[in-house]
Amino acid sequence: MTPYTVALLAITLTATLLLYYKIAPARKNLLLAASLFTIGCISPTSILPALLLSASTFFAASKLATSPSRNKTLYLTCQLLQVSALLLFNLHLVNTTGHTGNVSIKFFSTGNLLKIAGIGYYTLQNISYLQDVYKKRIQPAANLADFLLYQLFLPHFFSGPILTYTEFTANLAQVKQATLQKETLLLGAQRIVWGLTKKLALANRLSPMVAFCFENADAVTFTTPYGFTTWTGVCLFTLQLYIDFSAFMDICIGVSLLFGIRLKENFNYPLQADSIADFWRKWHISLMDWLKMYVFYPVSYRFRKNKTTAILAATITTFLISAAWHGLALTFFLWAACHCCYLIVESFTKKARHHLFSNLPPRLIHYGGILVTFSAVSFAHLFFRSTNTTVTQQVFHNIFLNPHFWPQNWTRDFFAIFQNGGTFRQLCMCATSFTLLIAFLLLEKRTAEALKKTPQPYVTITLIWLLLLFGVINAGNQFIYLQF
Amino acid sequence: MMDPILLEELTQVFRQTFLDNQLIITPATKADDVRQWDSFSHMELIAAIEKKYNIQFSFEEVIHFNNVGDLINTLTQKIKAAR
Repeated sequence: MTPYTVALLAITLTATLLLYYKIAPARKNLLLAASLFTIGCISPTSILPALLLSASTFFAASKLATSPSRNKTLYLTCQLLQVSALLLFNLHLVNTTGHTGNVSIKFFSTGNLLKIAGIGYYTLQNISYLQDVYKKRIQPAANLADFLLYQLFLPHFFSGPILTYTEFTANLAQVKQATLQKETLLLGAQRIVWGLTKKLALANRLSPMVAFCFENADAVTFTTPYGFTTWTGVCLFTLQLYIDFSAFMDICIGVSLLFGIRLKENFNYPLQADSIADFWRKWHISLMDWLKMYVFYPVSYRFRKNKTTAILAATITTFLISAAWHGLALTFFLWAACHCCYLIVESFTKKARHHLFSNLPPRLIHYGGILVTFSAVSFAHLFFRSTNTTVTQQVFHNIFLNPHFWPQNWTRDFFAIFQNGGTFRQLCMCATSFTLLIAFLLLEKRTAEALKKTPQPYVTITLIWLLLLFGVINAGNQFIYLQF
Repeated sequence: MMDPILLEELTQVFRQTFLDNQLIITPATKADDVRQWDSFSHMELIAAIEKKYNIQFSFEEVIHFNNVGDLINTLTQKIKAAR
């Protein structure tokens, strides 16, 4: 995010907000125009694909809804178009970001293909919309403008949350009647502040710490990469990813709230999940709801007569698609394979675990579950974060095959590693980052719930102070999930 | 009027599927109300009900069940149609 982008967003948001509450009849068109303008300024190359893919979906769905017999050819062609666009983009991602995973899939050079933002999100929305219209679950959009607003609404264009058409239009009904409410504005604003604080004072601090563990895995700079230090770096990535992505969602939801539009929550405190199944109910909720509805349930329904087959087929298919959605790199597939194994083992051992642990105190089971789940998720993130399998192998070796697991000198072999140096100032910065992180983990739920329910001026002012005192601008500025 | 015998029979199916002999269901019961009722066990439950009553739910019917009451309504229609 450059200062230009931030300034543009701030000016567009303010101008749109001022006009929005003045011109009730044209609000939807105003939101669409503002979204198109902003997307066009931030990422000009993203507009044409978004418009083409969305418009073709709208017209195809309109035809599908009005034709007396189901036009299966048209339906399948449109779905293939969406899937192809997504796969093409992910191929481009592999070719240009270096995230190769050692899999050579280079049908053609896409080096000159410019960045296309949001495609991972609106193609899924197109796919679900087409299916819902084809199966007559919903009526198609009344007009193209309404549908384009659904696809291009700025707060959810770049990184979701992924919404079905029904979920989005439930909000639009209130748009015409929306009046300027002080409480709604405050709730939106404090949610934005919460997201900014998480991003700048936490996620950006964790970013170089994590980068150091992964990009210096071959220990060029340090001759003894201690196992515990590297494992801590992997765990910090789980925290960074969550804080970064959830911060972006907070900002998007907050901006949307300013207009009286409630977007779906994408996280439900996944760090407190006590099983992998529970984790996936709480992490990237909109994507998992989409996968559940359009992949998991259809596959498990098909094989429901045999429980084992249903679980295996549905889980493997779902995570295969999730991996491909994130990127066509071996590392993403290895990450997905981990979660696949976790869920299958959890499902098949549910009864045995229930008998084994039934005599233990519930709190011990719960907190033990949180620790095990976090460790399992972090292990899988070892693959997710690695840009190629060489890095994966080296990080894996540093943690599990290293004769030196515990740091011999904590200052030199642990804290100095994360701050890329052991001067007093650097050690203080490291201590600050860890303190902020611990405070966040302890206070996150209470703070976030309070900010969602009522205006909290004192909390918001405290967050602004934290942002000003501890916020950092660095190479970690880019939100991680903007790349998908 | 909901058939109490059907509700009792379904309660037994739920208890067997979710391995919980204390489980009580009502027409208002939703998946969120039962800890063991997740994506994995949902189709297992559907398959168990289909087997018990020798009927078949379509996929569209299954995804539109918001609570046990919806399931019972559809099940009742299918049992009547089968007779």
